Amino acid sequence: MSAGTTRVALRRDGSLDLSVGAFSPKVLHRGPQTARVALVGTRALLLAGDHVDVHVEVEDGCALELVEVAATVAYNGRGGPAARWDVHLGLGAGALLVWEAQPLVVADGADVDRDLHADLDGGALLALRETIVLGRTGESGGRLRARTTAEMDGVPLLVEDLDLRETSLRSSPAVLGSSRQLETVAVLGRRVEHPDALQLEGPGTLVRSLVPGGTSACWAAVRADLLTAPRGTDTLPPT
Amino acid sequence: MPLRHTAASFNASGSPDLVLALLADARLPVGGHTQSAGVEPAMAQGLTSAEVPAFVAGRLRTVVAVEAGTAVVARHHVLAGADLRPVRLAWAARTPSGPLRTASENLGRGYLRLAGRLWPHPVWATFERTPPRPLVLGAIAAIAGLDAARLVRLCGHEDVATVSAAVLKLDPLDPLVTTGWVLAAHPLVEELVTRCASLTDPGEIPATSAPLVEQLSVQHSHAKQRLFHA
Amino acid sequence: MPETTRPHDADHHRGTRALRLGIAGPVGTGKSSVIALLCRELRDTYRLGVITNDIYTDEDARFLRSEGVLAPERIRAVETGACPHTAIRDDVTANLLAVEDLEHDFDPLDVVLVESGGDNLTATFSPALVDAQIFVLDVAGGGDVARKGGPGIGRADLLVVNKTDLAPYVGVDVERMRADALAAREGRPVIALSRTDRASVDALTAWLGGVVAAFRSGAHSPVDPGPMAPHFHADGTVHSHA
Ligand SMILES: Nc1nc2c(ncn2[C@@H]2O[C@H](COP(=O)(O)OP(=O)(O)OP(=O)(O)O)[C@@H](O)[C@H]2O)c(=O)[nH]1
Ligand SMILES: [Mg+2]
Repeated sequence: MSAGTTRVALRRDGSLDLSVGAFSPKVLHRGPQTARVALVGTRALLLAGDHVDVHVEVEDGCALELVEVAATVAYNGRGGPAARWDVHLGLGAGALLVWEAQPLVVADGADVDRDLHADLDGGALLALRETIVLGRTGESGGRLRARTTAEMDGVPLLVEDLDLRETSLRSSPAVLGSSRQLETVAVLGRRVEHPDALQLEGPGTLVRSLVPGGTSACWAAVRADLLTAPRGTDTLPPT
Repeated sequence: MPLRHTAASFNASGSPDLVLALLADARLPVGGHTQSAGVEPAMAQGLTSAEVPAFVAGRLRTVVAVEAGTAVVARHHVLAGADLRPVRLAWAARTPSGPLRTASENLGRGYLRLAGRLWPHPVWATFERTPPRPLVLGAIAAIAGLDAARLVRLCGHEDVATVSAAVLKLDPLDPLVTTGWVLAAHPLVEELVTRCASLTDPGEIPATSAPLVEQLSVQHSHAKQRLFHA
Repeated sequence: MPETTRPHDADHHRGTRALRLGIAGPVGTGKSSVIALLCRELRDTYRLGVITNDIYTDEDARFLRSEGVLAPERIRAVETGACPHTAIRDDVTANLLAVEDLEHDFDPLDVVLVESGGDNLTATFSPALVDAQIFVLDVAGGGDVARKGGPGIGRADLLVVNKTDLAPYVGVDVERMRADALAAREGRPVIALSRTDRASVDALTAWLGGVVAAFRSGAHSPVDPGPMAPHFHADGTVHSHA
């Protein structure tokens, strides 16, 4: 079912627009042009046919950090329609968004279509950490298709269609092999140096790991760096 | 960067099958023998030759679809006299690994050198110095009279043939076994034709990713011992 | 295969781009050492770059960098997919691109040296890749190697018989080997070289100086040694492997 759109918008004038959908946004910290907001689930996620819709907007020069409190489990849909999870991110010029998503666990029998679209204006920075886990303990996991599109000033920066719906494709030694977990740290808007990084042609870097916690150190460094970097406005305390 | 070229004539003559045979020949002097299509780094991480067919199948359904889709859309743009820049950007956004972009650009330079001599045409003057391979392949197809379906077959065949030839250098195997892999991949190559041959818009180019292929390409670029470039 | 001149854009470039010099020869005969020697002797005379073709590692490039004879970034390694022969002859694309990149990045260069991965006696450079080539043998390979012939020995622009200082230890008569080589080469130049023999080193650098001057004046014509020279069979027939 659709629970309406979860919206977090930090405006140029410092105001914060919040609306409750599948998540309820809770303000943890406020500065003149900064905010840290927690996304708290309002109900059991993710069931067959669910449609989760999250809109995040960070206007010019503002800085927002999103945190999540719990992992999301996509449950066995028992043949029902796929659950949809749409995320729209809009970052104005010089805006910063840091988001550590909690793991998305795709249980046996679940079917999830995750679509993330990010629009960045010049000088915007997006740092996103995502973890996909196929199956709970002892399971091999359900179907997941995770699409990601990022554009910078209207030019495609990253377009990725991670299609893990079929076991035969997913377990190919070209795709995930025997791994059931994929962590990704995406930094868009600038590059970060890391020996195993995928450096995009445009300004952006992906750091991935197929082992649990493989990106933890990288994420901690990226997050601390971005949050404490001197900005035109106030900065977020790194907590 | 490729600029808009005046839609010059594409009076390709002759047999598209022979053009396909020429381009699919492993002896084509474009530097293909320096590439392993990702199988060298995979074998360095423990891939066994028994697993190669699954590796090939994974590639054909992911990164090769990006390649073939880009080539088909590039062909369409060249035939329409349209700017290739959006096609190049779409390809780059779908190819997150720097070493894989470089490998494609090295091959692209090789094909560009070949194409400029074999099929003289004003479009070549609009190409940048290091175009990715699918852009050049698409333009060759447009100029030499290769239809989109054959172009996709070329991309698919080329990938599995590259893997198979490279495995022979990495693991002692009967070459009839590796050639058998190429034949066995034909249904997947035909699936790729269905998926890619009618694309025209850069936004429609498949973006299917292969995390292990991408990750291993980066590790390979740091490797001290390697036979193949990528 | 008949002797052919460089089949493509050489005339357009001749005298404006670097001279491309190939160094071929069997494994371990001293190709990298000859390159190191040339760099050491001539780095103040010419602007140099080096491409190595490594079989399994970038050993050659690393050796040359460690010799400190040239700025490390002027020495680049090219992978050959375990086909060193192909990379200098049948499909020179990877090497050609590497040469062009070096010339582009360090413009202007006077000489680019390309070391082939050590191969057998039949491996010679295509004239599509190099303007001139040196074939390197050594005395340790045996005194009769020069007589065995092959396209590199017979028709490379220069044949080097290397490590002459070792001749007494391996029972090779250098003068005899040189005479055999000269005969096989119908008078084309042969240098009996040892890095410890100053006169032989001077002969090598003088030879290269002559080639560079001829290249710049447009007088030098690249020659293809061919994949296999015509040769005699015991029954008296002559044939050529095309
Ligand atoms: N005594 C003596 N040894 C030499 C001379 N030149 C080279 N060597 C030695 O011969 C060995 C092989 O030399 P390299 O220059 O590495 O030979 P190469 O032909 O480049 O070898 P590959 O690239 O492996 O085919 C090394 O140990 C050198 O030190 C020489 O003039 N005299
Ligand atoms: Mg060497």
